[in-house]
Order: sequence, then C-alpha cells, then structure tokens
Amino acid sequence: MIRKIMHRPQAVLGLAMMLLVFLVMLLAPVFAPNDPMQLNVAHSFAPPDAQYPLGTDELGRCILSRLIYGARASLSIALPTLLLLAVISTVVATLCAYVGGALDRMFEVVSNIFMAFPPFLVAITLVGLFESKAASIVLSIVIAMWVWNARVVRTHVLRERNQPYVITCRMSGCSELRIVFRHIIPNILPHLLVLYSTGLSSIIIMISSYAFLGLGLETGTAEWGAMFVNANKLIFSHPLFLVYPGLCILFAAAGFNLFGEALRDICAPREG
Amino acid sequence: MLTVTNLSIRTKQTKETLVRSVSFSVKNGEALGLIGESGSGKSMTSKCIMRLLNPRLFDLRGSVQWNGKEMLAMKLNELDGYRGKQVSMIPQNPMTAFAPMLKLGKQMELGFSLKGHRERTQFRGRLAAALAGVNLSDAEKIINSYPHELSGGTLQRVMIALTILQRPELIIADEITTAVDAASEYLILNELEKLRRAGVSMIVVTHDFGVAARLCDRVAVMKDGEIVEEGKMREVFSDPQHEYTRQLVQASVLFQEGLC
Amino acid sequence: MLKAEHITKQYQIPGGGHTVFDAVSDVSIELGNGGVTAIVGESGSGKSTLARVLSYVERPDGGRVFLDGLEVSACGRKELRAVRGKVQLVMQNALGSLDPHQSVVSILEEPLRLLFHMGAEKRKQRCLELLDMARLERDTLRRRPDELSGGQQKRLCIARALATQPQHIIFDESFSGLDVTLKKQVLGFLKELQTELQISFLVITHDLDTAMYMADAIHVMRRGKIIETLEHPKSFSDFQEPYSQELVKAVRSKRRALQ
Repeated sequence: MIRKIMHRPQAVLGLAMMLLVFLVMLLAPVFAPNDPMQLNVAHSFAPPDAQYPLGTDELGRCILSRLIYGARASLSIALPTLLLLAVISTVVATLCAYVGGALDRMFEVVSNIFMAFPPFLVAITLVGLFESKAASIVLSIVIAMWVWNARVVRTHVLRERNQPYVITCRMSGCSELRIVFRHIIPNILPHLLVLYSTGLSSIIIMISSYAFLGLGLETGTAEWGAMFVNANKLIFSHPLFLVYPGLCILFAAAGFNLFGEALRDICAPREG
Repeated sequence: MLTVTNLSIRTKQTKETLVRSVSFSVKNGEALGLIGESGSGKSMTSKCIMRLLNPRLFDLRGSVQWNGKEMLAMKLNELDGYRGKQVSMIPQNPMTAFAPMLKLGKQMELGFSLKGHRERTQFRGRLAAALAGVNLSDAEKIINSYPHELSGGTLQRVMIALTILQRPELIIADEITTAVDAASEYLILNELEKLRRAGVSMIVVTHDFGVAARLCDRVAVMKDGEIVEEGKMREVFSDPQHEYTRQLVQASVLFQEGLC
Repeated sequence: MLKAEHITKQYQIPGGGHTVFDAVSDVSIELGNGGVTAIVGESGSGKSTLARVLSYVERPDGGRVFLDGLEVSACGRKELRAVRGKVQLVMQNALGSLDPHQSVVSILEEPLRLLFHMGAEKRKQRCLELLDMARLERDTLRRRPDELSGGQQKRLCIARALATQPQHIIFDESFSGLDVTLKKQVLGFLKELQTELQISFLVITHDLDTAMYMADAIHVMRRGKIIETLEHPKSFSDFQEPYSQELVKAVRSKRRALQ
C-alpha cells in the first residue's frame, strides 16, 4: 500500500500538501513572524517588508501570521468534526447494513429525512442554541453530512457482507461481532480512508463558508473564511487580501482531495 | 485455407509473451482442435485469427493467411467481408455475447443489414428454420425473448443458429460448452457435428479431449503459449508423445467404466 | 451423522413481486459417518441451496436438519456456534471464500483459537500439521490467498475446513473451473485424505464423471428434488430415470468418440 502511494505522483503531491498543512498548524508559533492578534492601527495597510512579509491588514495585523494561525483555527474544528463524523457514520451504517431487514429499512427512512436538511439551515438553527460557536459548527456539519458518508459505508458493507468469505468465517467459529470488526471493516478500510480524506476537504470549505455567511467563529479570529469575508470590503483597494486566504483554503482542500482521489485509484483495481 | 505461421503474441505493456511461434493450418472441410488449459494461449490464438486483439495492447508477429491473403495486414474495411462472413467465431459465454437490453430477434437482424419489410420477413423465416435446425422449435418465443430469459445452453444454440445463417467457411468455437450444462453440451455438439458433415471447416478451442474427439480430425496441444504436440486426433489420444499431453489424456477420463 | 428431513427452501423471484419458487422442495438425505456421497445436478437444480442448508449456513423454510440427533435447524445462534466445526462447506470460488486481508496462518489459526481455544504454541504446531495434510509448502504460511496458485488456494480451503476437525465436509462445485490436470490431482488427494481421516464427504457437482469417480452413493437432483439415488453404482448404465440417462448420454457420447 505505502509503496503504491509512493509510485503515484498525485498521491505523493497530495500527501506532501497535507503534511505541510499539518506542519504549519502544529508549529504555527515557530513559523509566524508576529502575533496574529497584535493590533497596530498606526501601521495599517503596510506594504510587505522584512517584518511583515505579506504586509498588514486594515487593523495593522500581520497577514502572514494570521494565515499561519488560520490553519490552526480551521483544522482544530475540522479534525474533531471528521472524527465524530467518521465514528457515527461508520458505526451506524455498518450496523444497519450488516443486520439488514427492518433496521436497514429504518436507516433508509431516517437517512432520507436527514438528506432533506440543507447544512446551512441546520447551522443557522444551531447557532442560536449553543454558547460556543465552535460546537454549533461541528454539530451542524456532522448532522448535515453524516448520512452522505453513512450511505457510502452502507454500500460497501452490503457488498462485503455477501462475499463468500463471510460464510467461511462463520464456519471457522467467528461470532457476528467478530465478522464485522475483524473481517468486514478491515476489508473496507481503504475505501473508508478515501471517503474521509476527501471529506476533510469539504469540511474545511464548509467551515470557511460558514464564516462567509457570518455564522463562523468569534469575530477577529484568525481564520481563513473570516479573513476572506473581511477582505470582501477591500476588494477594489486591496484585492490580494482576498487572494491570500482563498489560496490557503484551496491549497488545504486540494491536498486532501488529491490524496483521497489517488487512494481511490489505488484501491479500485482490487475488484477488477 | 487458413495457414498460421510462426505467430507470436506479446503484451506491449509487460512484454510478456503469451503465444510463441505457433504454426498450424486448417484445410478445406477439416476440423482442428486446439487443446490446452488456462494460460496456454489457445484463446489468444483464436482471437488473433479473428483480428480481435487490440493492436495498441498486443504486439503480433508472424502471419495468418486466409486463402492466400495476409489477415494481419488487412484494412478495417476489408475485414468486414471476412469477419462474420467467411470466418465466424462462437464465443465462450453466450450470456455476455448478446446485448442485454434488446430482444434476440431484433439484435440478430442487426447483423444482416436488412432493407425493407420484405427482406425482414424473409429473414425471420430463415431464422425460424435455422433455430428449428438446432432443436429450438419455438422460434417465435425466442425471437421475442431477452437474453437473460433463456438458459446458457439455449443461448449457445441460438448463437450456433446465427452462425449457420452467416454461412461461414470456417467456424472458430472457443470453449463453447464450458459454460453450459451437460445435457445442453450434448445437443450443441450434435449441431456442430451436423455442420461438420456439411463440410464447414472448424477450429475447436477446448480443454476437453472428449469435445475435440466429437468434432476434430486433428488436434494441436498447447501449453504455455506453444504447441507441444500435433497430430491425428486418435493417435494423439491413444499414444501421446509429450509428457504434458499424457497428463492431459489421463485427466480427461476420471471414472473408468468396468474397472470399479 | 447428518440427516435432513423434508427440506424445503424458497426464494423470491427478483422483480416478481411476491412470487416464490422452490429452490429445494421436500428433499430428505442422510449422510453416514465416513464414506463419500455425491449429488449430481445442473445449474438451477437447487444443489447449492441444499448444501447451504445442510451446512446450516442457511435455515430451511420447511423440514429439519439433524446432526447426531441434535436438531440444528432449530438451534439458536450460540448453540449453533458450538457445533459449527462439525460440518464444513468448501465453496466453488476458493479465492472469494478466503478473507483477502488475512494471511494463510491467520486463516488457519482462527478456527483453532475460536473453536478449540488453543494456545499460541499449540496453534502454530497444528497449523504446520494442517499444511502437511493439505500438501502445502510450509513457507506459504506468511502469504496471502491471492499470492497462491489456484491449486494452492483450493488446498488452503481444504486445510481450513480440516482445522475445525469436522465430521462432514461438503464440497459445493469445489472442483469445477479447475484445469483438468489440476482437478485430477486435487480429487486424487481428497480420496487419499478421506481414507486416511474417515471423514464423510458430500461432493456436489454437475459433472457425472467426477461423481462416479469419487462417490459410493449418488443422488441425482433436478428442479429442487432428488429424482434418483444409486448406492455403489458400477457403471453409467445403472441410471434408470430418463433425466439421468440424458446426463449419461452426454458423457458417453464423448467417451465413444475417444475410443
């Protein structure tokens, strides 16, 4: 598997981009030349120089530092969301698909109901319910996205459950629980990795678009989506302010997507 | 009639040789059995004779001559007069050989470029006769069926009826009884035997000596892309020279009647 | 002893609403301890469904299955697991019936751990014994099923079945699709194994030749029913039913051509 990834330029590129984003997130204080929250109104709209490599914004904050810390803000919400999303959709879908019958039909109905809710509507509703904006963002994304993931997982489990090896395992004395966790899930794991690594990129984009709609984190947080929105007002005077966070979102999302898609290509030929 | 000389087939991607300088010929009215197991290159060879191998994927060397004409060099428009008209192939799995969404009658018409209502009615008549010839008396029902509604054995016989209508000079039968039941196999072999008696030449690709014995005068035994033994059917079976042929002959009959 | 009484199993016709057809209808069969029995039938005759019911992978819609007097068709999941090892099914698709992510050693160790609770040392030793029994090289232990040849995969399936110390092994078309020379090898090996271990074999096949070669008793199955049973057939001429004779005619026509 690892060797196959290394043989695929697309996968290596995606992996490198992913690692870079993680690295920036972990080592933000090391990379950032300035404090991202440090106001200096006297020094606003400064052009790039040695101390502020990308210049400063309308409040005199270092743009580069804000972008670097932005990776933290985006991923610190995106990763827990993904984890919650992955656990919920994998467990629910596997259970329903493997047991089948009435439980599976119930899943069908429930998932149809959930699919009818647009994520932004859920987010707007939840924002009023929770103190913490981060929690409402996480929850609304999970509520909006879990069915889509669960449906994909369900398809994989349904296919795997009818493989002849499941019968063999049963004859070897496996309990149903063991069949699910020791045989079916390991076999669909590559597909799940693909699903969730591409899922991360949509989560990052969603978090940023929440900020765009004014549903994001507290104002002033160094976060890509929020920066993007702020820059909107300055589109004619300082168009680059819009380009920088946009590029960051694109870079992170593209990295996860490239890697996920490459994984999919690597996993696919097994069936053929 | 058909002469294959030093035919070699190699995959372009992995440079693996699948068939290594194979030579044989089929005379007018003769039937040759190509006997071998999986990976022996027998199906590859027959596909190559039908020009069914994608030249971008396979490297072909040697020559395949059909009545003095070099087949491997034929242009696509020349192939139209050859494939399906002079040489026909009956594929291994009849289920996948028919289009699933078209009724059988409709898709059989497509192969004959019929014009007008009269030709079509005429064709239906000939088709019914051909189907009756392969022991399928209810032509109306078959014409109005979709492929999945019929059994593999029936479909394979429909395929043979279709081949008979094409009146080819040479039929290539590629493992045609592998996917069907024993009783159907018996009927199919009977049909092919009739065609043999009518003077049609054949190449019978099979792993089963019994099938070859029903139809063939001569056999060539293939292993790992090469012909290891060739000769008259009876002689090869009763007195195999090559070690591999000997194994194959021994494995072809499991239960010895009267020895139990 | 494995005994089935008046087994019926129905399937819904896909797209046919509530219409059902009997894959198996009112079949009774008895497998003694030791010996080889065969069921001959063509595709769609219900023989594979019967195999699944006999190995209690599927429950019958009607009738009962007994293993040494225990009615397995009425057992709960827990009770069933206790007797799981006694009847084993070896399916046609060897590679598909092995978990692709498991190595040979974990495939063989799973039943040893789950059914016999053997310790690591004992398991390892038993694995090697099983490999020897199935005539597999010892260095295959670390490999995965898809790295083995077709013959080795088949032997691995047989070794795994033997690991459960079964009384009955049901081979469901396990040999069709194998190359003829390989098939002869595997069948020969199974015959030796059967005499050595005295396990009862049920060979389910469409090939009359294989059935006659392997079995002491042959049942002919058609359209979900057993239509003829022969004990110790000596020749193809022993078959009386018209349908059986059709099968015989097919084999004989090739035989005659060869002589």
